[in-house]
Amino acid sequence: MVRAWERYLLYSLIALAVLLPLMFPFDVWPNLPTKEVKGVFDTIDNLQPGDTILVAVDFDPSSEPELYPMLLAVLRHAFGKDIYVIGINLFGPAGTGLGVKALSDVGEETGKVDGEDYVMLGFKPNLPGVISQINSDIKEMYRSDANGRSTADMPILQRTPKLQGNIKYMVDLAAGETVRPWVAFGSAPGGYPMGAGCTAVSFADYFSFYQSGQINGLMGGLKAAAEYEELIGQKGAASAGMNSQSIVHVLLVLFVIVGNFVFFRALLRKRAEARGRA
Amino acid sequence: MIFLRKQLPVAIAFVLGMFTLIIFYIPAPAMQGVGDRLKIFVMIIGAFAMLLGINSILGQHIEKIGKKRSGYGYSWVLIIGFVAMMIAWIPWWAAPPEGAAVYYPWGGLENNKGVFYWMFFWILVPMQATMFSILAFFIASAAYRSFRAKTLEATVLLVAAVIVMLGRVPLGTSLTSWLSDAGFWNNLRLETMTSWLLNIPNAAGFRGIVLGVALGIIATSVRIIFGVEKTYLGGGD
Amino acid sequence: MATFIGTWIAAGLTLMILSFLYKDNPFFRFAEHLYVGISNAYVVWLVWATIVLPDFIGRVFMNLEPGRPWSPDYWYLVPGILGLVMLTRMIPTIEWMSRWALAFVVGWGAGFVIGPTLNSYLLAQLYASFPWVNMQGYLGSPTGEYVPALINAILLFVCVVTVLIYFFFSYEHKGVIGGAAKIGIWVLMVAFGASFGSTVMARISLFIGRSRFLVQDAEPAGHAFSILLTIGILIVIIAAIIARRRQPPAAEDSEAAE
Repeated sequence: MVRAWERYLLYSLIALAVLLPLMFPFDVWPNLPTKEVKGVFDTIDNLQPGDTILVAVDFDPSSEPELYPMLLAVLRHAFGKDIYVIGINLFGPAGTGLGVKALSDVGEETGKVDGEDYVMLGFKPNLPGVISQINSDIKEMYRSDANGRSTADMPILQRTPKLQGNIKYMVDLAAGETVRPWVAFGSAPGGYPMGAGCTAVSFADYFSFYQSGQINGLMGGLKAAAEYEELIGQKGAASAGMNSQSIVHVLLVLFVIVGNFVFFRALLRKRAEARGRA
Repeated sequence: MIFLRKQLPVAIAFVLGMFTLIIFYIPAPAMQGVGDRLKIFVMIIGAFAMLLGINSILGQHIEKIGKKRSGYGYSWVLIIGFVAMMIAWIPWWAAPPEGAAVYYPWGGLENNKGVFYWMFFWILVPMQATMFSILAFFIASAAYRSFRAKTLEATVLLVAAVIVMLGRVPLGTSLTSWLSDAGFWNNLRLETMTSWLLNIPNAAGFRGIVLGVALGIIATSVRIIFGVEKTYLGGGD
Repeated sequence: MATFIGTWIAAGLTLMILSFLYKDNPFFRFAEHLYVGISNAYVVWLVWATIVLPDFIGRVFMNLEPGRPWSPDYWYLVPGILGLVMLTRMIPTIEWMSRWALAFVVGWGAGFVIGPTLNSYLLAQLYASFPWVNMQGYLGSPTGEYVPALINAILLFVCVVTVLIYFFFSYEHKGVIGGAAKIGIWVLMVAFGASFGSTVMARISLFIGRSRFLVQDAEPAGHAFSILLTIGILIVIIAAIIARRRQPPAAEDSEAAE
């Protein structure tokens, strides 16, 4: 049982461990890119100007701190290489707004035009059906984009009327269980390669799909977002948070060790007392 | 009446289930056209279903206000927030952007200078993000309080968790950066151990779970199609 | 101006929700109810403006794209009617009608998922477990690369098989099967440990994101806000240490006894 003062002390130490490195940033520990993140980075880096990719903004504000920096980094990379981006959201309603903002902010930074260089298709329910339908015809499922504009004459969708045979890659930035349906209903039948970004919660979970090659890259959590920022040479919110992440992790490992030490010390004392009484 | 309540739904499920199953294996163009329409139909029905939850929440809080139950002041906050956001997207708040081929001139997310857009990004997004951020403290408390190496299996779990927690942060990988990055000693570096752990035993463990889930999905789907599984229809007669 | 007001409101609401860490309080409940009200209105907008209007009304009743040729597609009355039937769930006397819409959606889904699930979740995953499949990229590699890859490939196969044996409850887990199931449990413990470590990382990241907003985006002047917050936390730490000193030594044995 944790007493009230222990709980407040714990919470305060965690809060300080997070806040102080953000208030006083330093650059000591290098964030080395991992093979899984390089899988996504290298695939996009090897695409040609004029290629089209699909970025699924399958998260909502509850995962925004981890996945929004990842989204910005991927978009900056793609727009920097003059790759067209189709955005979509099939996780939950609130993700549409995040996708709209990210595409318009990065689009403005890089001189890209909504409707010509990128489009944000909104949220539709029925995940497997939508994925399957846009493989063969996007406009039939999406008669308007998230901004209410008709898709009938949109240049980017004239170029890419369907995913199958037209897109070179897709990245699913997933807060929940959307990576597996995208593999089963989108990437595998559509014949385009796929990478995934996810929250650290499901990072360990998706390794079975990474190992099988069904996804060729896997970005998990804030660390992966920071690695991607490092790879594109534009540090942002994710890199700013890595110092805090490092210190808190070490602190938590210490908590676990101390907790176990206290527990086993009490257990041994109790057993010694019991032996003494016997 | 029993037919309409009990047997017709099961028949609808059977016909649609068999149809979509058959067109996966026999992709005749005419059937594919019907299949594409069905995907859009199900999407539209799903959209209507999303409104059910909203009705339930609003109904509960309106009833709470009506009966003046404890905490009904907060229900007023909920209703006022709802009405304010609804008013925010009524068309007269927004004008369509210059020269845009606008599908419909409403004041939703498409108007990035509107009140709806402002409320979404300055109220909804920060609050939803913060709701889940308090879990950080609870997980720290859980790690201190209950993560005990009482059995061999628990110790294996604890060691794996510690390796991943240290191997996934720059400070952790710096702890073993003094080891050579080639040969045998490379295997003792935290990032190498973490990578091996995630790619081999962890992938194998979750693969077993995925295979089990896949078999469960197929079995449940067959049961639904053939009417053995009817719990999705809800209880009652 | 709108950004300035928005930043202060967002920071205030963030702190109101974080106040739950102390205990449930009126500020938290205010923020929670406000969030629920606003998010429900957002969903209503999304459903109406981005789905019902273009996909149902725009197909059946009116042309929403002036200047473009249009003819009504009456087949889309089917989902419209079924959608309205779904809403009868709100009316107890006729809620049984919603079963038709539910059966439509669930029956369609049941048939639709079988094929892709078989291909991608079952067959592709099984295929990737076999050592000879995983070694295909290493044929002709030097021994220093080939041997570790072979060991890993065999280990992966053994781990997958033992986990599947653990989940097979039709045979009693004793003897060879029991031994294999035991190894399967250890593999699962490693997987869940990795998952726990990653979950910890995720939760901390969420708080880091909000803290970054408070410390960097919501700064009114210099580090004033952050310093005030830090002083507040230090006061809490000192209060906690004083509270501990005043408390009679509690039995740590109670934990061992549990």
